Amino acid sequence: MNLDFMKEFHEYAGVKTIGIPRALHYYRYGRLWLEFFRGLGFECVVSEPTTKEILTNGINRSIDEACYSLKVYLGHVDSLIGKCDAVFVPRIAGFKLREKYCTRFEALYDVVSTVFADKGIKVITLSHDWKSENDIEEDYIELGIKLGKSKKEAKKAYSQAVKASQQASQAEAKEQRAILSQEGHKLLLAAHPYIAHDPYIGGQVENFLNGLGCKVLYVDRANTKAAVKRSQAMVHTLPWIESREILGTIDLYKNKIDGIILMSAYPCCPDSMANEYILRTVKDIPILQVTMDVQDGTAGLETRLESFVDIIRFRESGGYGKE
Amino acid sequence: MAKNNNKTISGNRRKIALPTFGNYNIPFKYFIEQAIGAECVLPAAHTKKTVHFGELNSPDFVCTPFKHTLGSLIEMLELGADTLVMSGGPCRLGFYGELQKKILEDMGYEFTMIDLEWLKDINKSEWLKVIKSVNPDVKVPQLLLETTNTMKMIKYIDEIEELYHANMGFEANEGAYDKIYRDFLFDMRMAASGNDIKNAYRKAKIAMDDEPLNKPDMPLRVGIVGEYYTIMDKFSNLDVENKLCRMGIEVHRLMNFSNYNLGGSEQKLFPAAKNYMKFQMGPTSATTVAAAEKYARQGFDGLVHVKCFGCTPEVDVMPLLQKLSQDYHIPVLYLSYDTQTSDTGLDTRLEAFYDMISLKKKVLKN
Repeated sequence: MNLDFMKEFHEYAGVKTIGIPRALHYYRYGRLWLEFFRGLGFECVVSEPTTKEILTNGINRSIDEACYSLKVYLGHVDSLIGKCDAVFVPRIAGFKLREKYCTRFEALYDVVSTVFADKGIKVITLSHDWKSENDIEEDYIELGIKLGKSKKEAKKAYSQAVKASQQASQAEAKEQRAILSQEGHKLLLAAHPYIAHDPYIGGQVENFLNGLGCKVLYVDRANTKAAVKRSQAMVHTLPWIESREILGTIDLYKNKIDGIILMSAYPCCPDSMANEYILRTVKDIPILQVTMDVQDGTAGLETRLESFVDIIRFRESGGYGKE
Repeated sequence: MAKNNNKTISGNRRKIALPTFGNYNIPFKYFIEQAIGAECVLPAAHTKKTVHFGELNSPDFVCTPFKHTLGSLIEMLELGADTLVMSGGPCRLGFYGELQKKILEDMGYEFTMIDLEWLKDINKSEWLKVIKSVNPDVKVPQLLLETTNTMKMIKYIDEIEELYHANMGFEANEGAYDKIYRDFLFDMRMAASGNDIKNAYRKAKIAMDDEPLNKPDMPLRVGIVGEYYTIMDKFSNLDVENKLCRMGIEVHRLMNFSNYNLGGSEQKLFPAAKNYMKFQMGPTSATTVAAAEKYARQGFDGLVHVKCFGCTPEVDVMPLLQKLSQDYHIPVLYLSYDTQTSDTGLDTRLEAFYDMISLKKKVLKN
């Protein structure tokens, strides 16, 4: 056993409730984490959905230039102080050289533990990147052992968690497939899951579009594996897996949907380049590019969405673009 | 030179260009001309126009080096380059080549792009194929010899630059260091063999050592840390190093091509940064933090953190530097650059920083 392991083993002792910030990777791995920790016999506290207060606290804690998503994340961590024994901040940075997450995910643990050093919170973590030799499963099992459980328990909890989260995402994917075959205008919200599913950011778009009688589709509920494969034929050096999923899903859905809403947070590292690539390569479908930043009021956004939907309807009724 | 005479006349030698990147266009030129035997297009001095071209055709909030390099590539295509070389990297830099190729093609240019990011996918033995695609007549022994010479040239340039920034602010004869440095770069640009490189280095080194200095016993010392491109490219950082030097400060910078790319500083320095970071945080984070801590330990008077706007890894390093600043009581000036070309604001900030650190030094001395 190396020194780091022993140190963490002692640090993690006495943890009973684990806090999970409802931001960034939560929207991808949240179910798995909840099942995993609950399976190991821990209590989990998930922070409340993003509110203005959470965001303001996050802004106060972060560097001005940091992206909107990190500000939201730090706000969520802040809201968990005092509600749990330790906060779970993983460093899941990627899986392959060209299938990784933004560098921010690499730095997440160190940023959180430095920013909240004065609060004296315990941060438990798990590190996996494309240079790791082992499977991510082993990292979860190691985390379980560090938390004082046996290897067998950890393995069982992990496999159950994977099963449960897969079932849930398959159910969602089925739902989305059903929507695809329905009547009505269908729009793809092409954004990272932590933007699209955050009720404070992507949620308002969904609500508004539903009000206009449109149906919203999500990237992470499509066949992401096929999407990544599709993207490999389109672009070679794009390093980010989520951008690959967006690009591939657009290609998969192109003929089944009426429009795409490219939504990103300011100044998102992957989107700053991937969206430009999408705008330059995807030509035969209406695309609306929306950039979200820390701002109140949704009137501007609503106007843009409304006119976008108008354009799609006009186009369908024989207007421009359909000669 | 005799070896490529027939080709120069027929004019079918490839014209290769690398976007402006600090002083490193000079070794690149040497490598292309001597090792590969093709023609190299050297960029003209970066101007406002270059940035304007880049800005106009780049996405909105991409990091600034993208805009600078794109502008530079456009200028060099206009100068007649037909083969562009773009670097790969571990962050957004890895996607630069492919997106810039797309943008330039959309603009209507015709060229070949050698994206170094692609080299990550192929075996090292296949690199020769890439080089042969540029010049099929390339001779392997010459290639190997001249590659070593290029590495040497890079190391010499970095060494002389280091010396220049450490002493330039204290020269007894005004402008003497500038002249030596400029002559040195000119000699390097003209060099055609390993001997030329060595001689130019010796000449500059001796001249710098001979130059009288008015250096106080305890001069003000400032360390520059930060993002890879902006910190090394003078036009991008509005020549912040020279500005500091001219105020009478000894300026140190660990981040350069020799240390980072050839010396593998990121892997080497990661253990030194362990006080502040547990995991690797990004492409340059360990170098930045380890260098900052080294300077703080050595009792430097201040740190300057240089980065381009929106550089994700360096933004993540900033909380760590804030903590380091508190731990060691060392002032840090955070500079974030975008395509701004006026340096008045920078001057004001640097002057205020200088006043503060010199006053601090005076108070602490007494």
